[in-house]
Amino acid sequence: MDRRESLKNLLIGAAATGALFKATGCEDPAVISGDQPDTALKSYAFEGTRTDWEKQRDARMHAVDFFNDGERKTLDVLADLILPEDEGGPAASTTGTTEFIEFMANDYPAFQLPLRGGLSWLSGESLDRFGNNDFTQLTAPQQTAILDDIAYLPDDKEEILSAPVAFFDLLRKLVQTGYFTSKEGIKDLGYQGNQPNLWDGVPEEVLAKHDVDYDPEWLAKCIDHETRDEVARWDDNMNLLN
Amino acid sequence: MQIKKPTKEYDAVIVGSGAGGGMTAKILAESGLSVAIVEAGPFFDPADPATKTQMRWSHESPRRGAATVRPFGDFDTAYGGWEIEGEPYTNEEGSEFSWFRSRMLGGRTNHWGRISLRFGPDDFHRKDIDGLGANWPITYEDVSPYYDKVDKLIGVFGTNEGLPNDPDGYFLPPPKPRLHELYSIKGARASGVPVYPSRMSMLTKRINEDRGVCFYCGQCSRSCAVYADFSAGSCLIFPAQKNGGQIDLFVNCMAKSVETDGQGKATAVSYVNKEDRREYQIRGKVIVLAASACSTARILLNSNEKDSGGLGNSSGVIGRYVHDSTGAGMMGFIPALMDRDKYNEDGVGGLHVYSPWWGDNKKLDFPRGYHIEYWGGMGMPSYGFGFGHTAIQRELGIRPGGYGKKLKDEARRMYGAVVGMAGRGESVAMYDNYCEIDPHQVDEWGIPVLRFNYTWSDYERRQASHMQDTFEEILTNMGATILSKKGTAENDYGLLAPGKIIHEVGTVRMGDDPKTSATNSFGRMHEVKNLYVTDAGTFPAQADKNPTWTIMALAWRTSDHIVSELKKMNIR
Repeated sequence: MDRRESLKNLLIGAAATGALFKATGCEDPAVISGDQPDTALKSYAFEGTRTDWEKQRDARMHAVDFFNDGERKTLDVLADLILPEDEGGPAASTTGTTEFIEFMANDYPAFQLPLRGGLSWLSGESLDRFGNNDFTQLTAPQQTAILDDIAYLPDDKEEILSAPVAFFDLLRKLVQTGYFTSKEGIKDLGYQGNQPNLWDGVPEEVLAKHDVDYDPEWLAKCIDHETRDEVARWDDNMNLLN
Repeated sequence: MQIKKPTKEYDAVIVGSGAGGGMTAKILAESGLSVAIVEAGPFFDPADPATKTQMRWSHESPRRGAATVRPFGDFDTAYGGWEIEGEPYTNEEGSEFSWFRSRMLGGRTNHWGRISLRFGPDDFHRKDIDGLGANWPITYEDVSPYYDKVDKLIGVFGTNEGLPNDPDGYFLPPPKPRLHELYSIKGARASGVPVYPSRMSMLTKRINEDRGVCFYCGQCSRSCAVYADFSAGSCLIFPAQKNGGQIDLFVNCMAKSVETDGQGKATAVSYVNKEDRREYQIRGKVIVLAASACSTARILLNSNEKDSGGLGNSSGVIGRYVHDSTGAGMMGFIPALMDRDKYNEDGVGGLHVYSPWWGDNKKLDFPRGYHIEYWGGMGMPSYGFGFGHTAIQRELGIRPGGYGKKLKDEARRMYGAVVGMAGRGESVAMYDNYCEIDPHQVDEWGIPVLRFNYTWSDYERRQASHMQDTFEEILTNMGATILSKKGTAENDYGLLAPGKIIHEVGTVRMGDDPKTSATNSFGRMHEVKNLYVTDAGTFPAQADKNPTWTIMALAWRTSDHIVSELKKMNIR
């Protein structure tokens, strides 16, 4: 697995791999004031698995509001335009995407400027085109009219994105991650794992669909789960006896 | 806060609790020796529910598992990373070495990939074959009995294939390949690249009553709470303690230097206790450094009473010849894997199949080989999900971007269709690649830090170029379109910076000649008879294999030697 991807590589698509990105350092973002007394820190799930240093850092991230209420409301609306409710799952905003995006803005300060700048741009665009500086109050056709102008990348993948397009591209990525890593999104996607089980190969019908098969010689060497609880024994020639 | 103060002299003081330190502690303690372990991080037991990240969901992390804090993400069980606050290192201009440290009991064994490969007969004498680097002072035959013992003690699945340089072992049966791995097998074989079941230290079958058996959550990087994968705590240190071995753990203690009596004998390890930030000494009849290759070199180089360039370093080789595995990768998207049937294919953590090096370097323009790791599948969605969406849209001829139900449906259809390959190769150990003490900087414990000087050579660049061509061909055979840009000469063919593969070895290399090596073939310092090294610092040459299995085999061999020397009263 690749160890550390630059943000650029990441945005190109390393993430589809499940590979994760590394910020360029562990410094706390500038917006976060220094050490705060422990009593001021909100507790949060997952805390127990953190080292002390991580715990303090995470608590500071949680303690700071990056967005204002208007920005949050706009992020909710945008999230639901990006991934609306349908037969497979709920609207993205109901799964905590805005809270996640706000945490990331604190956790990875490079997101702050494009997100905040993008939201302000959106307000200006809403005012210029439709006489209302609150995107969330526009009619649905007005909202999509704006989005249609910024939601697509240029054909040339090397072309540098304009700021509004880059904003929406980043937002789409974060909303996708936020939704599809939520409880509801994981269910929507159909991920079946993260539970004890016995992996015993690809189901027959799937093999048939994909025109691949197990080599019988290979298969014969694989674990027979019936024997998994017998303590392994070998002869002196490296042959497993049970 | 209670500070544990060392009062007695131990038979052995071991610095580090990873693969090398853990194994040394186990063998020495079970031989009746009193052992102290000095570990720079906290106590850690994978079974402790309080710190356990295994079986947690992405949404339990406020960053959904992103790697802003831990380099492999929030759930990875390595406390540390390439950067640790308060514990810096530096690079000479033009050098870009990245040094990964995991500060916790068990060290990096808690999160590693568990790819457990024996070195082969050729790997011990590459210089004879291609004239480069150095031979080992020992052969495969010297180490193979210890590989056998490690296989049986720790447990490793794999298959006996009778390959000349990828030896057979005492294997547990491997898990069956996943769907994308069947594609990989087909694609690789079409290019003449062999694929075999991977060899990894997870228990597909019971090996004793103390450890559990794998339940296929695919999360070995989080360290297994039922001890079904290898970590030095669960498989070495705790069992030794349970068996009555006397091992005292000095955790959160940062080793600084080795003290001597001025007459060539090591007497103690000096360390800073991170709790009270004060320095202590802990005495031992034998001192064993297993702090990881670079930390061990740092300790030795900082142990210089007479400004002599480090303890046991008349040869000047300590810190030199540091070398990591090479690494490069490629990923693709397989349209035929869209709209997949959903089922649980977590399997064991990581690859079920791999390709050991198949080439003949005599016919190639680079001297050393690499193995291939394959990845893909329907893993738990985590931070970064959807970030590759527009790249895949382009491959499918869809206008990149968009929003709404169409986007949501596309994401559902694409899930599980991205695959990738990673090469992990052998680099050539070079005198001019080294770490040394940076005279201008100390860490927050007051200990002078390491400064690295490491650059790749054309040997590694040409190998990476070969990887890129191979990966492109195999992925294409698999029906994939390439999502990542193919590496070119401009970016060293995608060769990752040294240190990124976390297989650094060679800083305290072993050899028969004290003028060109730091330790003898048992890891005993040529100049300090009761000072040993049992981490990968002693490796004169890496192989195209992960080093952990060899670290443990050699640590066991060294430990047997220490016990025998103590019995013979050669160490007093």
